[in-house]
Amino acid sequence: MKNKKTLYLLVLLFVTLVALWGLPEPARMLSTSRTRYPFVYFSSVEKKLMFRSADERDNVSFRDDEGRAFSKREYDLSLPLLNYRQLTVNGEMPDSIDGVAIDPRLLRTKQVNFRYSPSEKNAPRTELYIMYESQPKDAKLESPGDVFRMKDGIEFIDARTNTVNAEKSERFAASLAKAGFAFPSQWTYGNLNIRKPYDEGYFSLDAHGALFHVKMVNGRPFARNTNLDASIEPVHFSPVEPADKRFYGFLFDRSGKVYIVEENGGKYKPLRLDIGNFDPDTDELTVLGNFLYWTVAVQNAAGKRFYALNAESLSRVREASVPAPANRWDATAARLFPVYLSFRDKHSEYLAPRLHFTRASALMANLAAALLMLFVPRRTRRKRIFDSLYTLLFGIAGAIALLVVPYKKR
Amino acid sequence: MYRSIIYKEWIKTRTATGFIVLAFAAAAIHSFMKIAEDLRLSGAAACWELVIQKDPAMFPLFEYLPAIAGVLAALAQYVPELQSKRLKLTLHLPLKEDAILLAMSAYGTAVVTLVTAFFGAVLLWGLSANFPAEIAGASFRRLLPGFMAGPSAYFLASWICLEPRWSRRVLNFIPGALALSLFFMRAKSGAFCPLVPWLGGFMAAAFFFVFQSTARFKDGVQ
Repeated sequence: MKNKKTLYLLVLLFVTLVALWGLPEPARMLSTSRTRYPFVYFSSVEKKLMFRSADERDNVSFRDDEGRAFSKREYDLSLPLLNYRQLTVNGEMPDSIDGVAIDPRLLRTKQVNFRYSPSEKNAPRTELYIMYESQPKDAKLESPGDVFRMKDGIEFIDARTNTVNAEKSERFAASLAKAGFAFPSQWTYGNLNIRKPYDEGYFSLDAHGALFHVKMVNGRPFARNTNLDASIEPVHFSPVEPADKRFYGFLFDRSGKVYIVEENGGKYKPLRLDIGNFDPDTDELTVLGNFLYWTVAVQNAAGKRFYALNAESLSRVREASVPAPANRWDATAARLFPVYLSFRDKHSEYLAPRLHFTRASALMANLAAALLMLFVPRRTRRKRIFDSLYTLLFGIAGAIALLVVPYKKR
Repeated sequence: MYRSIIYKEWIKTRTATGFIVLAFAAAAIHSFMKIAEDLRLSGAAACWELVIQKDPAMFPLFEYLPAIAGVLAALAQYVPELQSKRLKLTLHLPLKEDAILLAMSAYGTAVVTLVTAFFGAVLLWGLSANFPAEIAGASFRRLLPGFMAGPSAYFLASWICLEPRWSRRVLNFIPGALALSLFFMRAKSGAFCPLVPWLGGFMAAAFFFVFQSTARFKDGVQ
């Protein structure tokens, strides 16, 4: 057998790489602590952001964004648009807020509940879509019996025969061409769930970066350019179907702005959420809205920012922020693993090797292990120096690999 | 001489190979019967919509089957070599030791790869008859890591099997099992795509691990 040294190095590197992932993984699973952020909602009565926090023993406390403590009852009363069911039962619901009469229907139709996570954007997709009838004769949506693809062209595939429905495909293709859509499409987003109050079809970015709205109305194709301002470069669109049909969804652009795309008399009006910079690849967004104010939360590695926005103009009324709470795993990694390997990322559904570098201070662990490797018995001086340098580079994972992989006849 | 080595390997592994082919065929028939049942009971449109929205595994039996086949092939090939130290005789055949081991390893790799590739093609062909190309493609991307686990499991099992010392076998098993578990991480169809080149690189490296075990055997490690 030739190349014994090469074989030794190959196996050594393999075991090291496995250990770079296999050692920190159980440590991460054991030490990761829950990230506890307070629940925050804007009080239309107090005109402040209200915090409901729970400590590690699940003791709940209430305060406003100026630090004033509230009792549970005071807190509930300060958020009538959040707790309206309970306050109505108790007979404590105010008749009006800010001069607007409280109407149960208004409360229901103007409610916004939206959540965006980067893994929604960074995920593999089948790239097949279902075109529901947007004005169904019945109250609920019905399955159309076909699906469509929209990459290099639009094609409807009949599920019964698994063949392209040429006639329907041509009708939609002609409609898209007439609207000025240029294939290939960069992406298409729509809400595929059939359990929704109505359907607004799909929003698709064409080859030139223009955003188009595509849907089916009374069996006929509907395609329209949203004609967004050229300064808006869409990177993602999260469609929602709010009860009041005010807007079509949330639009994320390349410069870090978030918009809702409003319906405006047959036209499309982007309205920016006044929430500062937003990175759709790393930031999570939560919107809880009522007819007066929207409470928006933006969470990333640094912490969570909260904004109260005027529901009409989406301009900022108030803001607060909470830094990211310390995580036990971060502290553990910083002490033991200056470098480690992982394959999952909470911001992405894709699996890929990701090398993490923690703190430079963790290199002390490498140094200590490297020194110990100088005293491993039954090894030549040259091998000890190699082992020490290897351990300095790969840390505990490298040391374990050196001890596990057979050297010579051990 | 190579033909003789291949024939020797065939004699050792024909029962296991027959069992592997039978298991793959049974799993394929069962999978197609299940899909046909779903299509008949729920209708094609509902099935397509379910697949698009929920991304279920179309061939769950095939997630682990290639890896099991890989381990079985390695055991069938190398356990007889370890009995009464027949490997010593094998390595004394009139060819270079590396060439003998390369031929043996290439035979096992070919068996596992050809069986998984053939049944992979059958599954995709069958799926394409009832589903659009996008769904067949997503299923292929979902099956790919499991199918790559087949040859990987063969390489790792050969490495462990030919290691002459039991304690070392256990030490080889731990990183081997951890590495193999990477092929079975729960994820959406297509989520593995960025990882596939890395897994391919690992497979290429793992092919040579068996040479290390054989070198130790030749060195007389007990």
